[in-house]
Formats: sequence, structure tokens, C-alpha cells
Amino acid sequence: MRDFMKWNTWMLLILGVLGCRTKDYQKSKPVVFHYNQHISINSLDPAFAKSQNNIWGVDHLFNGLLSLNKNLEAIPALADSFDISEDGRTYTFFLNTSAKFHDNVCFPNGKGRKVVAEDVRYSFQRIIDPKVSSPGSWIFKGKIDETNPFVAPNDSVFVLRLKEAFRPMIGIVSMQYCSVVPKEAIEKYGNTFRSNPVGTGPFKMKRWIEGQALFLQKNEEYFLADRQSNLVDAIRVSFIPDRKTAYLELMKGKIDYMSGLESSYTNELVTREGNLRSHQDAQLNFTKGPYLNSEYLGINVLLADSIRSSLSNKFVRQALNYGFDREKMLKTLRNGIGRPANAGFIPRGLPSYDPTEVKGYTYNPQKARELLSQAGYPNGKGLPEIVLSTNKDYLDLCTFITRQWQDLGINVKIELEETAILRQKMRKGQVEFFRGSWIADYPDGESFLTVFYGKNSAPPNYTHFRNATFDKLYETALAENNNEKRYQLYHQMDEILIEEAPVIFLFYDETALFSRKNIAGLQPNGINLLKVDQITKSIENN
Amino acid sequence: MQHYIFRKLSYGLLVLLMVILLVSSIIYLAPVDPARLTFGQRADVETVKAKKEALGLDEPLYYQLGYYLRDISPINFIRTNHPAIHQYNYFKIFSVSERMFIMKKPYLRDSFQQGRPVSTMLAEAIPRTLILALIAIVIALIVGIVFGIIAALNKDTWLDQTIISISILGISLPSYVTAIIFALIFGYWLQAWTGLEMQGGLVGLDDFGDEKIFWKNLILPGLALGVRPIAIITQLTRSASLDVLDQDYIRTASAKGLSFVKVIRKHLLRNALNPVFTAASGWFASLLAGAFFVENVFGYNGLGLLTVQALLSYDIPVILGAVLFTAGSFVVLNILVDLMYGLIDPRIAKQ
Repeated sequence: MRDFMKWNTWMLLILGVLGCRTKDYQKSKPVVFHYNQHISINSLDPAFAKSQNNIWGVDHLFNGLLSLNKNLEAIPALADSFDISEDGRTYTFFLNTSAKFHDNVCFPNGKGRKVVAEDVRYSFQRIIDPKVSSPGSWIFKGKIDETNPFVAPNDSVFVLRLKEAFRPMIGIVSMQYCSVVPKEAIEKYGNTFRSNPVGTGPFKMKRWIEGQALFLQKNEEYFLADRQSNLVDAIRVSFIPDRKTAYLELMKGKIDYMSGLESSYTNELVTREGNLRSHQDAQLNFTKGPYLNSEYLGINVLLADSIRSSLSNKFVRQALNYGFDREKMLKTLRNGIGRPANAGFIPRGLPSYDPTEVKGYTYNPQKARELLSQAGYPNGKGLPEIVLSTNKDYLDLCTFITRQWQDLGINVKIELEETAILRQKMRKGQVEFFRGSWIADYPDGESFLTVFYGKNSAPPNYTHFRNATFDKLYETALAENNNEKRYQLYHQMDEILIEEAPVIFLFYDETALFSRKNIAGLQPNGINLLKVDQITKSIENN
Repeated sequence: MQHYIFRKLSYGLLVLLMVILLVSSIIYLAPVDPARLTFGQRADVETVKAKKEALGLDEPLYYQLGYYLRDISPINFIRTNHPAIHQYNYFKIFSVSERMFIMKKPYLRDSFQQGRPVSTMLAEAIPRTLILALIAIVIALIVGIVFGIIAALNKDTWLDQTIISISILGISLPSYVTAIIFALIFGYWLQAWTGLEMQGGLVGLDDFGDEKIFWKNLILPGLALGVRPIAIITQLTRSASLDVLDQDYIRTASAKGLSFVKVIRKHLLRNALNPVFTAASGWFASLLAGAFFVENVFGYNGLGLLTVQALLSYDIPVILGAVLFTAGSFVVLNILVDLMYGLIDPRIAKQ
């Protein structure tokens, strides 16, 4: 029997060995800023910087003519300065002559050369080249001069010619699509430029394992080095798809930074009032700021009119807008991240946002009831059931709102759709009432008002809204050079939207950034760009 | 025998054909435009239309299917100036006037989202998944056999009961649940002690941005994937060992004074493990399927993660390529197993 016991213990020992580990220590480790992106990057080519997952990577590697500071004002990047002609149709950019591309084998001797105006012309031309089929081709479509839109008269001057004055162009030029790329690299790498990016940015490419990790190294010869005070030697990005896991990695200190909230961990991080929970204080920094994202429920007014549904009645749409408590919704469902949308469609964070000037909807059940009677449905009597389509991420929000509507006698049934399918239906105009959100492409109110411009189809005009006064104001605003006057026009347009109510205004989103205590210098900005040039990382003491 | 193999192979081909037909019809019927998904919200109609034409998505389903079959078929009879010919990596056998008969590598097209050839993406992902499945089966064999023998030797004691209960729990838990539990326990709570990560693939980047193989990232996914086979192998080993332990030759061996270890090694294991290994080889294919879930939990960049990500973005060529590979490996493994049985028992081949 003793033999038996020995044998048993020995076998259990073997099993114990399966959990062994090794750890190697290395001296002078570089300071690496490590963050997670839950959606993988699928291209580092600026021409494909269509959504945030690609934009962050591109922003580290490339520069455009202009970039945005934390207040979303255009500041010089590759262009030192620019001029706009009197008629607003010619933009002249004067380039910074010290900018150099990253060292790469595509250049003679592998040394990066200076950036010239021809590179800008080449890069812009690439965006509109049908062979490239860039998702960014819309940025110039219908706006630029048809014969000769991009001109490089000499090495340091670049001229952009427009068909008609289009004031938000400065915002467009600062988009990542307009980053400058070298012709040599495109010719050498062809289709694989997406994974062999060569730019001028503060970081250069080191290694990318698709779907797994990206590693970028500091560019020692960065031409705007004086502007940055970062002490980070490298950036490492992981692509953990599950956000709860990413949260746990942040808590372990494996990653330094994470943005955004998801219901699975919100309550562990943030209180109902939208502050960091006190027990996380020792480990994490929490910053929030306005995010140029307007959340809404849209009504396809064209469809509603054609099927003569109750939603074609303006008073019903207004009643829906008055009929639920935005403050309470944000507190209970979003932990106070986001602000009630009570000043039109242009969200907080843009200079043209002005809650004193534009008065939107607040919670007012009494008013909602009056409007319902006015529409011919006193206390909801005779009002047919309305169907609201949403994806699963917004199911809780929609449920909350429909419950409150029910108290007024408005019956709304929620229909759940898969994200991509709902998008497609919205595009084809097959859903009458849907959940939507609009994120600014560039920081100008126009980027939001274009959603309701009658000559636009879906997208962006998912509601098929068409209003002659609105369209007229929109066209006037585009040519208006004076900001104050332009914002006045934007306000008038927002007021039309509030009156006509083609959407139920929900809330203005906010960014929620979480970083480890040893990270300093992270600043939120309205387009949720990750700016690393001010970041420092000290050694964590634990 | 040749007739038998031929029949099995044609069945296999038919299965693959049905798989392609089924998967493409499902994707085709889904009210989503994959060309649209390669753009952001703002793309204009003409750009999307051009992309759609370039991808051949504007054609009816049977055309699209026909083109796909032409692309993946290893033999083709094709016009010498056919536009698709540039994509193929082919070998000309003979030509008749304007057409030629070629042999080629199946062309799986390029990913919609990434623009990379699907064959490259699969070639990267498949070995990682195979290693994972292999590790899982090795872990399962070692742990399962050890547990099984311990249980058999201590029949009806508390140790035996515990092992049996644990293995029943192991069989009943789906692999994605085990994966999450393991990740939380060993990768988070006990992280300081185990040094294992909740996330990470086989190939990763170290602190200098250099590529490095992280063998330790195989342990947790391997274990999670191996739990079900562990449980089954434990039970199999236990019952087989109990049978063998009752045999006269074991008693004889102990009686003639052989050490305990020798009895186990030479007499018990040899005789008890035959059915266990047969079962384990059959499990390998189903481990590939389990890997789909486990890889997603651990962010292990193999075939499973690739497929799920492709599904979420309706990346048709990647979905078809991955499904085709998985179905193909099931077909091939089944044929091999059938053949093996046929060799062992000639009656089966004759039926």
C-alpha cells in the first residue's frame, strides 16, 4: 500500500510541473506606451483611414498639411502657413522645408528624403484615383476644381483649387486621409504599402503582426520635435477584441491606456454620477471630454409620408422628443457619460454649439400630451404601434425611452437588427424609425448639418429630410468666411431641425479615457484622436 | 480497394461543393453589402458601385459561384487571354487553339477588408491552430492517462470519486466557458504566480518590437481546449485499466516479484492504452472546431480568430477559404480513419 501512495504522489508532482514559469529581466528597456484597440487595424495606408481603428495608427506615422490641437483648431504641420483667396476658392499652402520622410529602403541609400509640394499633390491625387478606390474619395468629390485641382508650382508651395467656396475645407485637409505619402514607397510596395507605411510622423513602423500587435518606434528626426515633449520611445498596440479582457489587462498594468466604456465593466470603474470610483483612484487616471458624436433616433420622413404613418405628423415627432427624461437616461444607463442633447444636432465641443442661442427639447410630459392631442391622438388614443429598429448595443437605451413613451400612451415596439444589416436597411430607406449616431469627420458644424441637406442621399441623409429654407441656409453658410456669421446660419438650421424634428435628439457623447497613474499628458479631444506627443510614462511603483 | 477510395473521395468532393454552395447562399441572402463595408459611412454611390463591380458582387449568385469554383478548381480549361489568368499560379499542360488546359494552385482570392491574399492569411493562421490542437491533445493524453490510472488504482476511494466527478464536470462544460474560467483564474487572479497571460498568440512582439515566439501562450488555450478530451480520456483509461487490473497476468506479474512501477508500465499501460489512442486520434478534428471558441477568448491568432473576424465584417473570400479548409480537413481525416479501419478490418472495405 505504501508503494501505491508513493506512486500517486509522484504522478501528482508531474502535473504540478505543468504550471512552471520563467521570467527574463533585461536592462535599459525602452519606455513603451502600450494601449489596446478592440477593433484591429486593417490598413496603415492613409488612403484607407476610414474609421478610428485605422486613424490612430495612421496619425502616429504620417502628417498632413495641417493638424488639430486639443481645441480642434487647425495648426501647422507639413504646411507652415496657408492663405485663402478672396473668393474662397484657392487655398495656398506654404510647406515646412525641414520635413523628411522616414528612412526606408524605397529611397536611394535607404535615407528618407525631404518632403516637397509634389508629394502633397501626389497624395491628394491618390485619394481621388478610382484605381485606388479609397473610402475617402468623398472628401473632395464635387468640391474641387474639375480640371486642375491640385498644383505644385514649386517645391515649397502647394495650391488647392475648389469649384466653389467651401469653408470647411480646412477641416478636411486636416483629416488623416490627407496625409502625405512618398511616391517611391507606393511604387515599391504597391498593395503592401498598407503594411509598409512610410511617412513623416513622430513614429515609424517597426513591426506589425496582423490582428495581434503593432509596434512603432520613435522617429528621431521628427521635424516637429520641438513641439512635442514626449519621453516615450515606442508605441505598442494590442488588438484584444474583448473589451472586458482589455479592462482586466489595464487593471493588471499590462496596458497603459484604454478608451471607452462597455456595460461589462462600467460599474467597476465609474459611479452613477460619472466619476471614477474611489478605490480605483490609486491606480488610474480618468478624463472625460466632449466627443463630436451626436446620438439620435432617426425618422425616415420620406418613408413615413409615403406610408402615411403617424410619424409623418410633426406633432407626434415633437411629442416623442418631449416625452422622455434624457438626464435620467444618461445617469442610469451611461453612468453620466454624455450630455443631454437639448441644443440641436451640433454637439457640445464645437465652437458653433451654443445652448443659450439654440433651445432644444427637454423632458416635458405635459407638453408632450398637449402635442399628442393636437396631432389628433389624445392620450395616445388611436395611435398605431410604432416600430423602432436598433442594434443590440442600444437595446437598453431604446427600452428605457419606449417605457417612458408608454406612460404617455405611445406604443413603440423595438425591433432588434444586426449592426451591418440595420445600416444597410437605413441606407436603402427600408426602416422608418431607427437608432443612429453621427461622428464628425472634421470639426465643423457643417459635418453634422450635411446629414439633413436635401441634396444628399443616404448616407449621410438617412432621414431623407428635405427643407428648402434649410438647404438655402446650408449653401449660404458654406461660402461664408466670417465664423460668427456662419455660426449664426448654423444656429438657424439647427432651429429648423428642432421644429421639424426629423430626429429624436438623444445625447452628445463624451470620451472616457482611462490610463495608469504613471501616464501623464494625455488630453481628451473632440474627435477622439490619441495624441501621444505630450505623453510621459514613469516607472510604476508597486 | 481503389473503388472504395474513389467512392470516398467523390463523396468528399460533393461535401465540399455543398459547403461552398450553402455558405455562399447564406452570405448572399444576408441583406448586407460587403463592398459597402470596405468603406466608411461616407462613401459615395459611384465609388461603391465601382468596387462592387471590381469584386464581382454585382453578378447573380450562380455566376459568382461559377467564378469561385473556377478559381479554386485545381484544373481548368480556359481561354488563353482570359482576364482571370493573371491571378493564377498555373502550369500549362496543353493548349487547343484559343484555349488551354492548365493545372494550378487553388486561387482563394484577396481579402475584402485587408487586400491580402487569403492563401497567405490562411497559411499564417493554420499552423498556429494545428500546434494549439496538438498541444491540447498532448496535454489531454498526459493528464488524462495519469488521472485515469490514479482513479483505477484507487477504485472506490475518495480520490477515485473526486477524479470521476471532476471529469464529468469537464465533459459537460463547453470549451468557451472553460476558456473564460481558466483565463480569469490563471491569467488574472493567479497571474503573479503563474506568469501566464489572459491574452496573446503564439507569435508576438517583445518590448523592443521584435518578433518572438511565446510558447507560454499555448498553455492556457491548450488546457482549455484539452479539458473535454482530458475528461474523456480519464474515463476511458480508468475503465480500460480496471479491466486489465482484473486480468490474471497482472496478478502473475506482481506475484513473481516485479516492482509496482514495472507492472504498471509494462503490463497495465501497454494493454490499457490501445482504445485510448484510437479515441484520441478521432478527437483531433473536433478540436479544430473547439479552437474557434478558445482562440477568440484568448485572442490567439489562429484560424478561429481569423474566421470570426471575417464573419463580423462579411469578408467573403476569407470566410469561404476558412470554411473550405475546415471542411476539407474533416473530409480528409474521415477518409483516413475509414481507410485505417478498412486496413484493420477488411470486411468494412468490402461492404
